[in-house]
Amino acid sequence: MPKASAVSKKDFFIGYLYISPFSNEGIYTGAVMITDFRGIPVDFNYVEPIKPTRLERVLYGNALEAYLREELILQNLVKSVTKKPEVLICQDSSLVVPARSLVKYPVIAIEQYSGLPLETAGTYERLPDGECFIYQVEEVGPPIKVCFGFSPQQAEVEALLHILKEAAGYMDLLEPFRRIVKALDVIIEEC
Amino acid sequence: MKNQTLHDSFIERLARVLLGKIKVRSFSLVDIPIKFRNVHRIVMVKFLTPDFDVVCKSWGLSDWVFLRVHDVSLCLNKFKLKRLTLRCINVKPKKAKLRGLVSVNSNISLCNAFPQERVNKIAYTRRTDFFEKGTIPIAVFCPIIKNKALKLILNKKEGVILVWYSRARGSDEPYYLFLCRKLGQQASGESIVWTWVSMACERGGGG
Repeated sequence: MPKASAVSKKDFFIGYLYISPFSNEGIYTGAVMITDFRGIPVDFNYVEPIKPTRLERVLYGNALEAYLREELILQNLVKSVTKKPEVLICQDSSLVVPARSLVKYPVIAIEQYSGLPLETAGTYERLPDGECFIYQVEEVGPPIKVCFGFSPQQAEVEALLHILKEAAGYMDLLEPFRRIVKALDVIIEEC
Repeated sequence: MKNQTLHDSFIERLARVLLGKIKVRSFSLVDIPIKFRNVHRIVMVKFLTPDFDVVCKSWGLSDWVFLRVHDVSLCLNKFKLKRLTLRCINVKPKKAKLRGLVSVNSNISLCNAFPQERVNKIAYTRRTDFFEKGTIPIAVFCPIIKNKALKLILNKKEGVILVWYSRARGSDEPYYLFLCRKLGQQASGESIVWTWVSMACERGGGG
């Protein structure tokens, strides 16, 4: 579990894990990007686009997507990480649990919350499911929804939210996902 | 008719000559070992998709191996076999390990080529008392590390600002970048102004 006091703004990395959903082209891919506290990439690994054959689609059936995303791509991406991040952020909450079983650092999913902003930066509310939180991570901006994939202890929540708040002071927490998507688009075009 | 008679006569004579010389023997099939020979050749056809990574150890290549390339692609600094067929005849692979269907590559330079984006958060701005009277903020982009920003471009179509950062060391102080309209200055042509406001000041309640 990360210790809030141990994290200063310049000595931590944040990991971003993106695995593409099923597209019209039937291509699966994914990437993991590690950034410093300013959002500048320090490590970027991606999976060569995978296009399952018709035979594979028939053989795997409905399990194909889960197999490709949660086992094959996820495992290989997580193993490729060379700079250990303070937290690994997924764009998809369904990846949190399988990713956590593979790494020792915290794994969460975040997304923009469409509701009203909370009163001040740093305040948070636990949602009824007990696994997700609404967090006002910055003074000027929408709150974010943070999903842990399990019901965390209070200390664990606060430590992790502290890291997010520190990072949000220097970067847009959700923005790296847009860069990953653009980079993957280029990679798919090249193939 | 005459020819037919001669032919019959010849056959009869020949039969008389040979009849006593032909030996007829019998033998049993039981004692003869019967060998079954398999003429079937083992042909292995492996289809290697571009995502296959095959590590083969101790291949006993005794006879023929055919490698047929179906599709290749040539990228910058990359030559990639996209689809090929490996046909082995009389090859006995002792150990073949499939690492997985995916190959993971690293390309930090590709990712560094993309600027960071900051969306307009004016809808979430609670304080506007940084500005003098007559100055109305119409957009705010944050956080931006002012001293590290090499280039800033406003994408009017998407309403985002693109930021290219320097990796050099230095101050990492984050700022708000306001786009403001100054009332009463339309005639001078300077009605729109960009204003940096330190986030530290905002946090501290200063302006």
